[in-house]
Amino acid sequence: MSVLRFLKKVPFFTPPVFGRSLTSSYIYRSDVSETTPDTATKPITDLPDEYANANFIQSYESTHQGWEWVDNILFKSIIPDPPDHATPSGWVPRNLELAKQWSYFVDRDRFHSYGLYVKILPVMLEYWLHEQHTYYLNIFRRRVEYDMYAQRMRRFSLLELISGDIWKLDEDLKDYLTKRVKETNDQTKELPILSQVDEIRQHILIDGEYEEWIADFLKEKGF
Amino acid sequence: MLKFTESVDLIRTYICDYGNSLFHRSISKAVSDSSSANTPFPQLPVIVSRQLEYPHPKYPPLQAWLETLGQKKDEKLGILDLHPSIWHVPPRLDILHDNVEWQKTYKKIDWTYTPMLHEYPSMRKKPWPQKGTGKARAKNRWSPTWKGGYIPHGPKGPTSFFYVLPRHQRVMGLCTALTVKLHQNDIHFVDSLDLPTHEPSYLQELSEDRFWGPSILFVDDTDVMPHNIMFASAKTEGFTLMPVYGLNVYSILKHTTVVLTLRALNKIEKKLLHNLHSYDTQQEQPPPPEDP
Repeated sequence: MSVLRFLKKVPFFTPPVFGRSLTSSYIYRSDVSETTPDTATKPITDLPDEYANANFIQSYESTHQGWEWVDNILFKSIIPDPPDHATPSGWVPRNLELAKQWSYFVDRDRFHSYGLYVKILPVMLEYWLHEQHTYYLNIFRRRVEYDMYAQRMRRFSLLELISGDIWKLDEDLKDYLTKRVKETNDQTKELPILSQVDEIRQHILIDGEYEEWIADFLKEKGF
Repeated sequence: MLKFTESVDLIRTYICDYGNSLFHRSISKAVSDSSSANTPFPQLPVIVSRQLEYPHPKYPPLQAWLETLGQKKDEKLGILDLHPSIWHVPPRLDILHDNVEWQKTYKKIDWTYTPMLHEYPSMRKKPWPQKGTGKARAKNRWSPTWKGGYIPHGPKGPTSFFYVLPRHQRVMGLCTALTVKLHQNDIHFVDSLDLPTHEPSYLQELSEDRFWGPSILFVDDTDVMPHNIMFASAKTEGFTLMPVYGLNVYSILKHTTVVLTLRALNKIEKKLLHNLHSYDTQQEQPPPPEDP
């Protein structure tokens, strides 16, 4: 019977089958029997004496070996230190000698990455307030502003964790990005590059998606 | 008999640990080694070096005086190193505002309740017929247009304004409040809250001499305070005792001066740095091991 199955013609495209079916291809194995074993069907009283008097696990031995395998799985809140070299993913360690010479400083977050984020906001094309379609809804007795007719979603790049002279950083960043834009001649990028500096929150918001180029800028400066 | 330099090194190594009661022992040892044995405190200020975890890449540690409450005369015991990630943070006013608003609002429960028409008395008779009388048509006595009628769409029942501010905002709020106080000279570090007397006048005169504001917040390691300061601050208006776990942005900003003990400072720095540099999820993660 198994030999016949092996010779049976299989179509070129076999649809995915979950579980075993009679039409699925079967690789003949000598160590596995096709018939179901007695232990699965017969009750334990019908089995021969060898099965009934089987030696199950009666005792255990506790050791302190192999803890590393358990420790590897446990959740740890302490974040490990990063390596001193650049990794294949593009991560680059900090260069403090280079970073200390500038009048500003961009710190890294607790995961040793830049404070670079994409901010996506819905934006109205109407400028005047009375032309905007903002509705107020009462959700759980709180007034919530709901923008029903946001025409488009505007994308910003946000740079955080800044300290020092934030305006100088803004200047240098914009110069670098304009230089990069002129090199690539990308039609989607518009000049001049617009940015918003928030001194209280210590962050810079740039209109457009420039995350990778800002990361290159930070790598150049050694942050 | 130790030389002066050796005794100073000894003290430095003692205080590299989390400056506990060892501090007093080390000071007394230095005193016994030096010539003067009657004065309770050493003549010269002692440099206190604290080991700081997670050193900041750019900014070096800040420095502040270590003072005492044990005597009225303002003698400094030493200089403390403060971590710049906590004490040299950009002043985020928006985070301070958020924290203060949260502290005010999360306890708020609005108890106003206006019953519906079906909760009014059960007389649902039509006051007068629809037509014939010269009066306006009326269906029931408790209509919203009538005096004493029900309020439509009114507040219903207790509404809670409870919410929990994200952990990072709360941590940055504390850091910002502490930096603001430090850079405005409103924070003072003290070895411990032990006073020689329980008289409130002692503390009041001490604070007046040192120009510590009308309201002072004393922060200690544990919630079991020494007897003398307990009695002294109970009678004085504006003096508050607080353990480290009760520290909050509103109290820090409300009180004019904040007085921290060395043990409290160590605990606060440890907890805040752990929260700034670790990845604790909302699952039940065991807290960092605390010193006994």
